[in-house]
Amino acid sequence: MQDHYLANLLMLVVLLPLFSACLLMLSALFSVKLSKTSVTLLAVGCMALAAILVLLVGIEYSDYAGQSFSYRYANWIEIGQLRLSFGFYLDPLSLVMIAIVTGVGFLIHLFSIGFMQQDADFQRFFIYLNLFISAMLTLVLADNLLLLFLGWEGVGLCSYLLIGFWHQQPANILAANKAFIMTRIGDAALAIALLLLFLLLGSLNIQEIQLKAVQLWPLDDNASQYRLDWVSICALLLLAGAIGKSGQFPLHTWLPDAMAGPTPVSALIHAATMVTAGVYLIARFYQLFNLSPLAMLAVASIGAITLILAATAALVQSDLKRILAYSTISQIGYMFLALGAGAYSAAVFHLMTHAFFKALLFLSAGALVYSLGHQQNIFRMGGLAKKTPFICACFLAGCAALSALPFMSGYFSKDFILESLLQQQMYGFWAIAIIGAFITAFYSFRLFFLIFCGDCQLNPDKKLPTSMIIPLALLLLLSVFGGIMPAVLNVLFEGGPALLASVTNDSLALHLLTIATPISAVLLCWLIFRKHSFSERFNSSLTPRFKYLLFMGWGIDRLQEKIFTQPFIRLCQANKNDFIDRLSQLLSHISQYGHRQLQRLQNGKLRWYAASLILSAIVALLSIVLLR
Amino acid sequence: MINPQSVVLFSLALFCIGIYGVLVRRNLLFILISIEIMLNAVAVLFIAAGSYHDHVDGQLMYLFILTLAASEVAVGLGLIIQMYRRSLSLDVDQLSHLHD
Repeated sequence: MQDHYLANLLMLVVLLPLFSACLLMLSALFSVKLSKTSVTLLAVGCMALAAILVLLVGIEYSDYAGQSFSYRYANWIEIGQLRLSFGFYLDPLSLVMIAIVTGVGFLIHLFSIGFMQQDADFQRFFIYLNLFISAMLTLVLADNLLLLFLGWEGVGLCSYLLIGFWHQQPANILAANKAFIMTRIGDAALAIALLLLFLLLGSLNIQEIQLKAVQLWPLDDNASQYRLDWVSICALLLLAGAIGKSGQFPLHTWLPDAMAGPTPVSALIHAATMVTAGVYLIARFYQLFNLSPLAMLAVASIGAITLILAATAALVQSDLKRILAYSTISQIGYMFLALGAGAYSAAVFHLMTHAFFKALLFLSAGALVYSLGHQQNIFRMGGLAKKTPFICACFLAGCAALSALPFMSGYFSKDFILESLLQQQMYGFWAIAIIGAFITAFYSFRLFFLIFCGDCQLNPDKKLPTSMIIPLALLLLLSVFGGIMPAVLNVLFEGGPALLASVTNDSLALHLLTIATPISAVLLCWLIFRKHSFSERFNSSLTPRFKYLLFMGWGIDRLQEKIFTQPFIRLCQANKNDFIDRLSQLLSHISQYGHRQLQRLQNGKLRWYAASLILSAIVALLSIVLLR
Repeated sequence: MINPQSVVLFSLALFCIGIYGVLVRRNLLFILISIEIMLNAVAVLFIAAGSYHDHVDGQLMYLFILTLAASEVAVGLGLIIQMYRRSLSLDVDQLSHLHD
């Protein structure tokens, strides 16, 4: 009966947020007025319960010692070869993921109570949040690809709803549309991968797919490594899906715009859910990816490109949330780099620490924005350290963890990624990662100094409620101490570089380098800040054009518009009259023409009728006479 | 005995005159008269054919046509009077209300 207990726990974890969302939705549908307190109790209470249940799941699961646990609740579809069920699959990877989703998700829920208190659509906000969490949990726990896809689409839908939450402003709607459409490109690739895998392997169960793939396409050492075979195509399609969801180059442009939503939403999208889905997908299919060196190289390259691209773009932004958005893109790039190097546990570890410190950064940014009356430009801030010491401490911890200063949580995970890159002898990627780490530290402390040091310009006018302070404090602790390795991560994946590799002599110097890089970046940043050399404008810089290019995120947005959007619009305009419709309309045009011609015969002139009568009589007579 | 061919030609000529009258005349009264001429052309043909074959049916047919023509004229003239009272005109080109 142990199994049933664990299975029921898992089901409850997924169903609780869904239950709360449905209940709130029904109450809105039948216009039953709920007070904000009862909405809060239901939505946040269900999340708290789910988080506690995940804790119980973790305790229960410890008996399995790393073995996977799967359970089928009900049949979903059964047609011939296709057998799908509502089934959950639990292993250390999905356990870590549901712990992050529910834990960080719960803290964000808690924070939202205070943040959204004044909003008229309080209830709608919590419906979306709960639905978001529930969809993400389905995605993570699903044992077959279609159920995963269901959660995947649910996450996409909820992100669309939440980004466009303040739908009164057209800009927000545009941002929401952009997020939806950009991720849809990836989703289409994922759907194709799903169908292709079923076609080739005859199964949609994730574990079965990987077992069959290993048997069917064994890794051949003799053949040329980087060839495009079926397994590579499948892996690349999965990668395309992950790129869309995780905001990687070239589909990353929706993520900075997604800041249009309320700040807790940004925290939820960037830290706990949504963008981590792509990393999870690749980690879930690690056996399949291992079979294709080409796909692995693609994963690593995309990670490296995104890492540098987003980090440099973050250097010159002036909007607080945009900087954080670009930093998320670049950190996910790190995770992809680790995935591409085969260091799956490093990627998931970084995902976890990133969830902590990015949630902390976003929530403290939210608290800052909240207390400053919705000011987001960092050049308007300054000297806030004394006025808001608590937020300052949170920000400091978040920035330190983000820039991987020693002994913060981000340090352990980033160090681990760098080390595994060295182990796999990917020196080029390692160098990129080090440069990225330097830039990361630089921009995060540029952000910190500009907001909290220097002259005071703004006065915070609101005190933070307790419901905002508690999650911030908890996340602060997690960001600082979250890097202490949980044993569960060690058994994530068989093979691949082991966690906590022994520090050998020759890597000691490299370790020092990884420690020295962010520190030197912080010092450099401090020097520049002291000389007041940071500027919002583009004319004071040595290379204003380059800076503007960075500010526009390397102009990828504009490039995409030039290449895809504008030709599409032009095509639409050319085809305004609908070429295909014209063909079917031809029939009606012909009959209408004939009708008009025949109509002219019925002119109401009696003598014409008589003449035609006589004429036809003559013709009839002649034909009878002549044809006989 | 008259040559039957000339009778047929005469009848044909009469019929064509009738047709011409129907097509060309605009006055409804004249159209009616033209139709009478056409009827008479047919009647002449019947009588000629009856005398050619020494048969009484031709003359019988003529009597039949005579009554027909008489009733036709009665009805037609009645209609024409009604029409004139309504629209004060007997021009068929103007009397085309059914067209619309």
